[in-house]
Amino acid sequence: MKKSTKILKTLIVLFLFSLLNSCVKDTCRRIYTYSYYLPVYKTTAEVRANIKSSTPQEITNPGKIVLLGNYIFLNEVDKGIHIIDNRNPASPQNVAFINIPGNMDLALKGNILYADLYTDMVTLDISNPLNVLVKKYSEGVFPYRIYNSGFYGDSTKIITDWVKRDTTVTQSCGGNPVYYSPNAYVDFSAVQSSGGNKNSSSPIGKGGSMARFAIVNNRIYTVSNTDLNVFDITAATDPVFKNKVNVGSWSVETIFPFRDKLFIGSQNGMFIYNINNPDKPVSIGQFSHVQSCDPVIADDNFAYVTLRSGSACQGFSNQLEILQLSNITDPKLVKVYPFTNPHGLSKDGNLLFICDGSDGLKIYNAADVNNLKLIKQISGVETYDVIAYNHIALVVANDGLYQYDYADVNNIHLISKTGISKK
Amino acid sequence: MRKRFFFIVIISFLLSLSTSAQKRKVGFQSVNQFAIVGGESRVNTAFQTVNGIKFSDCFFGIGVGIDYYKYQTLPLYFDGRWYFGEDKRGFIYGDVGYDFPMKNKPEKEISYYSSYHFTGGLYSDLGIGYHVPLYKKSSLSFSLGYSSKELKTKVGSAYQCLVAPCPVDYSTYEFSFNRMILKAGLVF
Repeated sequence: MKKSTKILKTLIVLFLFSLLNSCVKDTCRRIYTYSYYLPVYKTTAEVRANIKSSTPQEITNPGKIVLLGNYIFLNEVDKGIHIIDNRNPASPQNVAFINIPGNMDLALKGNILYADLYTDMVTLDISNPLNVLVKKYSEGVFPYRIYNSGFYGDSTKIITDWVKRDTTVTQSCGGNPVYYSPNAYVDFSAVQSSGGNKNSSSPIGKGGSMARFAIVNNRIYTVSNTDLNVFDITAATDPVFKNKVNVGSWSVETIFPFRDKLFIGSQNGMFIYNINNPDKPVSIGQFSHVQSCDPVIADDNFAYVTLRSGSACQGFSNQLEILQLSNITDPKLVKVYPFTNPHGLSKDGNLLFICDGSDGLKIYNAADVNNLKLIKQISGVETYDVIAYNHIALVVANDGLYQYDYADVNNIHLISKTGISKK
Repeated sequence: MRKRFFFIVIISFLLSLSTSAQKRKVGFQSVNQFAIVGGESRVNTAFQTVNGIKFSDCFFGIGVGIDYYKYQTLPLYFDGRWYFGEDKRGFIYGDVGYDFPMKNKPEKEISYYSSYHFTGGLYSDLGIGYHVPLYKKSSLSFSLGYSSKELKTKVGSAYQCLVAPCPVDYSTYEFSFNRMILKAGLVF
């Protein structure tokens, strides 16, 4: 009897425990701070009057980079273009700055520079880098300036600066953050940068693998979020819009030209276009991958695609994918190599340069794509994009522009660093 | 700062116990417990050991344990008990202290992150129990209580950019886990 009473008491306690479990609730709240930016506008006339070579400015937020001859043209995101005299790579000189509000992309052919100016394209004669001359404004050729927060600027004016505002919000967990701002741009990021092609009568600027402008012969190709645009630059100072092609992806990021092909990187795959008819690019192949940011470069036989995580692309892969292009209409995955956080890449002969984020710059012998051999890893630098050309690797890193001499692969060494001003 | 505060309080408490122990009949007591912790999220387990001094109808000690509810934590707390009833077998207890986070990863309520850092918070427990004498001064202890532990995590979501430092959105998640706690332990 006494034993059964004890069992009964135990059962009552257990029942009470399970009953009360359902009565107690956990709470979770999320506190987040975000910034939004109020635009500062100028009229088109005011902005155009100021597009000229000015005194050199500190590099604070570098974007795309293009190398042409002895000069480096470096985009200062949304501000303009730095002109760096690189006649002596051991001592590059920042010589001038071109104010181009809203600028994020650029391409060069001969003495002509093409750059976006928010929704317009400006054509500049850079014969004298210290006194560039505006040749043409192509108005409204980039009608959709995408802002992640859904912000749309006043299309009659040009944004020349932003005023930052911070705000803190508390909400219960589970829902997505609500970013409210009074007609302002909410900062979720930005990226970009430029490809190269040598088959032209005038030298064409060689850009990094994160370019969105590319020149092939007498055409300049630009990519927006969804489209591929074609401009005829037969008359270099008078670009003429020729065609717009829908790429079939909602997140186009980069364009890389190689011979008569364009390799377009998007967050969900790589697209290949044939440009035998330069005004009518034709899609001839594609390779889909998991959602990720993916700069792409190519050579005669292979395409090299880096996928990375920890970004607005929301990917979770960090790897290099090498695709066989023998059947250009059906690229096949040959091999995948794991990386830490790969960004831009470049190839010169059998040397493959990969910017692996905080792991620095990695240089491989890629003679056998099935067996990449690491030649050198340059650590201690957070690298993002690279142009390898003429035995100089120009590397964009978090704290500056580095130039490495790789003429002797057994003695790859730093020859200069141009610092970035932190503000 | 908070940890230092708790350390000072613990030392002060031990000194006061030492002083009062000289005046009364006191004895060391150790309570070692296994617990089932149940709440809205799930049912998990916990282990605790409380060591302190018993005098008269009271017990004061310091407890430490491992709590597996939702996120693993290490509570460090003061424990106080008051025994009641004719044979002093019933007791009510109260714990209050700090909950240190152990090695955790954000769970499903945090869908995307590139970095995270957990910090602890208040730990508390209040309940009622019963002793079953075993041999000499040892006994079995059973109790049912309501426990709460707080935890914070600062989560960073990085966005892509060409040159670091890339923009990072930081959110702080503040959790308060409220649970029922059923304990069985050995007292000696």
